[in-house]
Amino acid sequence: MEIPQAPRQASAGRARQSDLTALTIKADQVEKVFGGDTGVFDLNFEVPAGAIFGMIGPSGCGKTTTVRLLTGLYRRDKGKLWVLGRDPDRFSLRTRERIGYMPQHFVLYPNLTVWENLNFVASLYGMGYLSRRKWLAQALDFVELSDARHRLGSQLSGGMQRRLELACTLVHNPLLIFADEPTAGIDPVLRGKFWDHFRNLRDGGRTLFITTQYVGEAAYCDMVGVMRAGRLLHVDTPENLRRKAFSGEQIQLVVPPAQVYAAAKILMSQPYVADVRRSNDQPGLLVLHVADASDALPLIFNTMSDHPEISVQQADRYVPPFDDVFIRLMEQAEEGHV
Amino acid sequence: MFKPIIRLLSFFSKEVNEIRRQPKLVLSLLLGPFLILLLFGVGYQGERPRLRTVLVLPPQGLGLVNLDDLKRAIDANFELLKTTADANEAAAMLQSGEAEVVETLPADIEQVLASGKQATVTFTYNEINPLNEQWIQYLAYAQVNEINRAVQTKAVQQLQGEVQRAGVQTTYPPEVLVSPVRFEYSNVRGKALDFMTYYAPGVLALIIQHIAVTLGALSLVRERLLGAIELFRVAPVSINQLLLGKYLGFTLFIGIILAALVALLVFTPLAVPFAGDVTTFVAFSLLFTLASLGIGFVISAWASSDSQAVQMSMLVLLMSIFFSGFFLPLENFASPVREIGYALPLTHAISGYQALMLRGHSPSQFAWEVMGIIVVAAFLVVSMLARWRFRQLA
Repeated sequence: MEIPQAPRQASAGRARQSDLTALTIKADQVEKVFGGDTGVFDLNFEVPAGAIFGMIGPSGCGKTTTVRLLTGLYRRDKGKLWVLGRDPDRFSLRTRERIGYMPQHFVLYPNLTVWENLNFVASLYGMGYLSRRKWLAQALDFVELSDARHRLGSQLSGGMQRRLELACTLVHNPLLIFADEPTAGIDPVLRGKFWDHFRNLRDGGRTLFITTQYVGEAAYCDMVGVMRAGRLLHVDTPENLRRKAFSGEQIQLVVPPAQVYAAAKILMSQPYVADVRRSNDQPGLLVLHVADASDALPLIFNTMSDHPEISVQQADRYVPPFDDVFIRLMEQAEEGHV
Repeated sequence: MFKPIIRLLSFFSKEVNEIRRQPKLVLSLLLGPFLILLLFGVGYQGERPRLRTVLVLPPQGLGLVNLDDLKRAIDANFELLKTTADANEAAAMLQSGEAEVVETLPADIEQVLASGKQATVTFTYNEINPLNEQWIQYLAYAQVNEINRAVQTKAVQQLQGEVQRAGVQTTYPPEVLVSPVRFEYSNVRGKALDFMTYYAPGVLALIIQHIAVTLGALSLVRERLLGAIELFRVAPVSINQLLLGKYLGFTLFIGIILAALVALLVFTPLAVPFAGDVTTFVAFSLLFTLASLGIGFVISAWASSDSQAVQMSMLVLLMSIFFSGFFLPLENFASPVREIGYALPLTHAISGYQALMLRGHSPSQFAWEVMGIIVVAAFLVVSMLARWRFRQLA
């Protein structure tokens, strides 16, 4: 699948490169209060160029407010913000041309066809009449809507509407893309395709800022911000967030059920093992908490080889699903750890 | 360099595409007004009301007044239901609504006159319509004049007979002595227009204003409810580009509707004349459309929901019917209210279209100037209001 390339960038490689190096988001102590304790507070994060930044958190935690602050739709009350090197409150036309925005709700026109909707958005960004057709066709191909180009907006399914919106977001070949819950309300297969699109865009040099309620999707991001009640709890890579949630990494060790207590006792005494837990669902399964799984695994094998009475059937690094990571991080936040 | 124009035209083509996707709307906008005008032309009689009347005669007879002459005079203005000597029966008919006017003639007019007093003809009615009351009073006045003339003519005839018998020659006929002055009138056009033709330019203007105000009123508020404003604010597009694009799209659409309606009026059996200059008509219509759209956009920027926008458009329509001179002359209103009428584009469009279509004259300088002021003022207000609405998200 080819990512649409606007002519100016396809033909001006040097300019493109400089755009990429300048491309970043930086938030410093940003605050927007709607009254009482509603709003976002003390936002501090950076988004490097050419990365997918995922903002996850429960509904109403402030994800959309953050996107609106970054796109200049909301004015912040405190702090400093730079998007593409500019303050969003004073975006120039040129900066706006480099931004693609996919709002949370379908805002395209039900009485216009897929092609007309896309054409309208392309005109908003000032794309020329003659050169535009090619990029429109490419954007539709990209979201697999070419066959539906003559269908009215009102005749599209929810998933097709979201794909059309994505095409509209990309039609002018933006360098920075804001997508507010792009996968909300669509089936898992389409969600997977959306993330394929996002990765392709990232690989094509774009920076993406994506909010989602599906915390599992955080695993597809290069950087993840975890929000709760208007505050950013963590900003890190998915891998590091896992570590933070479980104070390190986990290893699954399978032994015969009869040997599980003996094995646990041996491993608990090892300095590189922080904790050992027995699985209630699977007899014989132990979950070891270690600082680094790749360092700990050879040590575990060495230790167990000194105890031939224990027969280790399996030992692997365990990667917990991001849902568990998120729940753990939320629990920590409630416990006051963050 | 061309980007601002492309952005402006994006709204233009979007509006055009959206409208053409609604053929029922286009058809109803075209055929609806035409059918309304046709029904008006076919159905409107334009005559004074025929009031159902009971004539109460004195039992002693009328003396000087001839009953047949009187009935003819009454019949010219009233619909004579019954002639009776029973005043109570007539009062009951008036009470029940069977009759609208009871005309009671006095007994022995001759004797009353001989005693040097005026005889009184009484008109009793049970009316709530002020216009009908004015008609009854006017017709009563005209009828009493007729009776007076008949009585005077008969008296003069009798007097002349007596004088002639005494040997004095009289040269003047009694009608000349009774009514020495008469009137004649002539319309330099030959004949006034029929009601349908006279009202056609006004109806056309009313319809065009209503379409423009409604389209404009729904336009911005729908963008806001759809959430598109959020998209526009992030995109490199200005509020003025949005407004101008919409002005352009709707003006084109309304221009097509107007051209089709004028063609239907002029080239069908309705045969409304078009005596004026087409270029002047186009220029004046353009100004009128922009002014009406401006009012619609102001409503749209102000309203919080589409039902509120529709309601406000209907208020503008009502206000236009009352204060534009469409039915009631603007001169009949006291000063502060009259100025409200002058602030409506329809007021100037009616006079302008009538001048252009029916008389072949250009609209007055005042109409051009006020229309221009409304266009500019509405644009400034809507631009300011829309900016405020855009910022409300923040």
